[in-house]
Amino acid sequence: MNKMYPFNFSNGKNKTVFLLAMLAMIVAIFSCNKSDDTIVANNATPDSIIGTWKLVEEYRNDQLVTLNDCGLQENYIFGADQFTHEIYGMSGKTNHANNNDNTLNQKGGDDDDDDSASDDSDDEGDDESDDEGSDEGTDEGTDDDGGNTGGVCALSQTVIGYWLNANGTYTFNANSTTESKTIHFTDAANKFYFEVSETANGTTVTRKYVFQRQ
Amino acid sequence: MAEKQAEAVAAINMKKITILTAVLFASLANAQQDSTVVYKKRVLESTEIEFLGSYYKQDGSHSAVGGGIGTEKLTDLTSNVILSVPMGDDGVLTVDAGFSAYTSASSSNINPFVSDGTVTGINNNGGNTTGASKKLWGEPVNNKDDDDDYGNSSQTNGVGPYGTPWVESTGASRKDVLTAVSLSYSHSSDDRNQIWSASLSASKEYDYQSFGVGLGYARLFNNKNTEVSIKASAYLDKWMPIYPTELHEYSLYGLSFQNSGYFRGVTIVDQYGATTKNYLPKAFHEFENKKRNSYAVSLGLSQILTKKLQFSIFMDVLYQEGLLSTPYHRIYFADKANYYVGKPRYIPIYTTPENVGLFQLADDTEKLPDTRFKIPLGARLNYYINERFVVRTYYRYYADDWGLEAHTANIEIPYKISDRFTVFPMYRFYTQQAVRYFAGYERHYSFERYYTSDNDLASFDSHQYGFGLSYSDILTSAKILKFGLKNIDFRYNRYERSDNLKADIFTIGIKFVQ
Repeated sequence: MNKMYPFNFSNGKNKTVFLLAMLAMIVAIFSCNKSDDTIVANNATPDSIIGTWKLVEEYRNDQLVTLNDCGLQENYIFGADQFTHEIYGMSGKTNHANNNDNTLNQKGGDDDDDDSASDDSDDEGDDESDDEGSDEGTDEGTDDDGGNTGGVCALSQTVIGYWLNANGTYTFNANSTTESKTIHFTDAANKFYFEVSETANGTTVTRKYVFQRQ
Repeated sequence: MAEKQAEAVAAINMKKITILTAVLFASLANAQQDSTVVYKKRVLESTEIEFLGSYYKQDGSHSAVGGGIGTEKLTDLTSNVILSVPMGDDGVLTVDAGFSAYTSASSSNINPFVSDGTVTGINNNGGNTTGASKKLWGEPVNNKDDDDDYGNSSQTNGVGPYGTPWVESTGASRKDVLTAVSLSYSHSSDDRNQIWSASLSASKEYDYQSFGVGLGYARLFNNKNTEVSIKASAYLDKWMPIYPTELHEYSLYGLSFQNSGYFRGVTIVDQYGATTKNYLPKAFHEFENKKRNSYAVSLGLSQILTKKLQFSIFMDVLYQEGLLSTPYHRIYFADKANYYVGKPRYIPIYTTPENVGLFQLADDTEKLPDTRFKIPLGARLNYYINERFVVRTYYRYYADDWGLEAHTANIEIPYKISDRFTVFPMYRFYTQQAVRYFAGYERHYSFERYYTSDNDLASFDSHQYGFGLSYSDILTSAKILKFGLKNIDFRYNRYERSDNLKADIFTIGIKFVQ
């Protein structure tokens, strides 16, 4: 029995036309462009400072300062617009001579509020303490910055604020204080350093802090 | 969860539909040959049993439970048994029973908080605590002061609780099992030109249950070259809502929730890491209506155009009402201050996977309209190039009154390697325009009426590609008990979405006939 079909594709020409039409339809469907308000890729190059950085070196008037393990736990975490600066110190000791309220200078911190440095403390940051350096407090360095003579290494201060980069000059805003620093990137942006100069009693001391990307 | 797997389910449904379509066309062809004989051919000659299994694995970075950010890790194992039994010459009874077991990082973060170091990397001291924060549901909590199921976060030794949207919590909500059963009966007229069908279905998982009914009618014309069909179905579903921990506690204890229950003694910090008591998710209210009803009418027309060309078109009209929001999807408002539990050091990198110890407390859960009207319509076109090649194409357009618009295009080219083996490469393209209520993490405003940060409702494209291998033995020479092996069907699909969601889908189907 012959079937009655609405279309006849028995000849090759019609078949070719049909296949081409089908192919065109598929291509048309798959090549549809989305409208402009769909997901927009962010092609902007992220700022080099974004990431987690740990203190690896410190210089005083170009002289390398020997830091103990506790001091070397100091770190920065930079996000898209905020940063965290964590400073560690030995309990009951001041780890750095340079102790002021500036966010990027705030090295050594104030240990007074964190003497116990134990897990029982209610301090938000107490659990940050790392015992790595706690029993290595025999600082044999010649520089007083590493004055670590015992105790427990603990997170002594956490500063969280906002940062902004204007042509290489970074502005840090935290605790109602704004500070600007020139950040220098080295080693293919795997390290950065900044310098801080202080004058006391007519003597200027320049400190250089080098951080490495983690 | 259900929406998360929509594409995977679609892939499985696609397979089912393909099989059904093949059966339909085969039936049509057989029916035409039989139209001149006097006896009635049975609609289904003998009992068939089919085992379907699938393994689905995904990961992404836009968890709806995390308000638009966080891991979307999920694994799902599905198994179904479909039994088709001939009921006399004209009827077929089909029973489909199955389960779907999943583990999900995303849903585990309904309660993201742990205080025992389970979330790796968050406790530098290796500390351990007695916190019971992992308890979420189904596990009794011995806490006389707390009448909910969350237990007490207990900070007695100063560690935790912590959480992060980037690591799965170990709470009970990370896994669940969906069990489902459906029963359908179809009855064909003596001349096989009319088919009536009815179905019942039910499914249940921890926080959701569903009951469905359906009625269908199909009419064949034109020497069975043409078929029109209509089907109506209704699903009467019910949520047993689970809310994000912090919102649940707020609804339990109101303004004093930070001094009661789970959050008693828990340190909450602001955007600067400073301890605060200011967190108050005032926008949140538990949903009163927990029902979700769905009604659908499906219309179909299939036409055999030539010996080699067949097409079908279909259109559905769907209406949903009730609780269409997902109660555990978090929302963070851009115009509200941010509050966190965990380690403040991660505040600057909260939205990156490097955050391994901080979780942001929600401002609200997603809120979506309580009605939704959907219209999908589409077409299939199958062309049999020759004995070895078949081209199967599919297109669907979808629109709804939430503003979502989508196009799906699918092509599959089965190639018959031998009498028994067929391979079928496939590709599916999908694109959708977001609903008008979607915005990403921290992009909604508290004055909005409706809001969601569920990326399933965002704009995206997706590509799904893969292959299948099918073994068919018409003679069913391989036997197990009284059943002969008729078909084995294996498929692998890779799914990639423009928002970084990726999934692998493995399915297998084995059919036996008596």
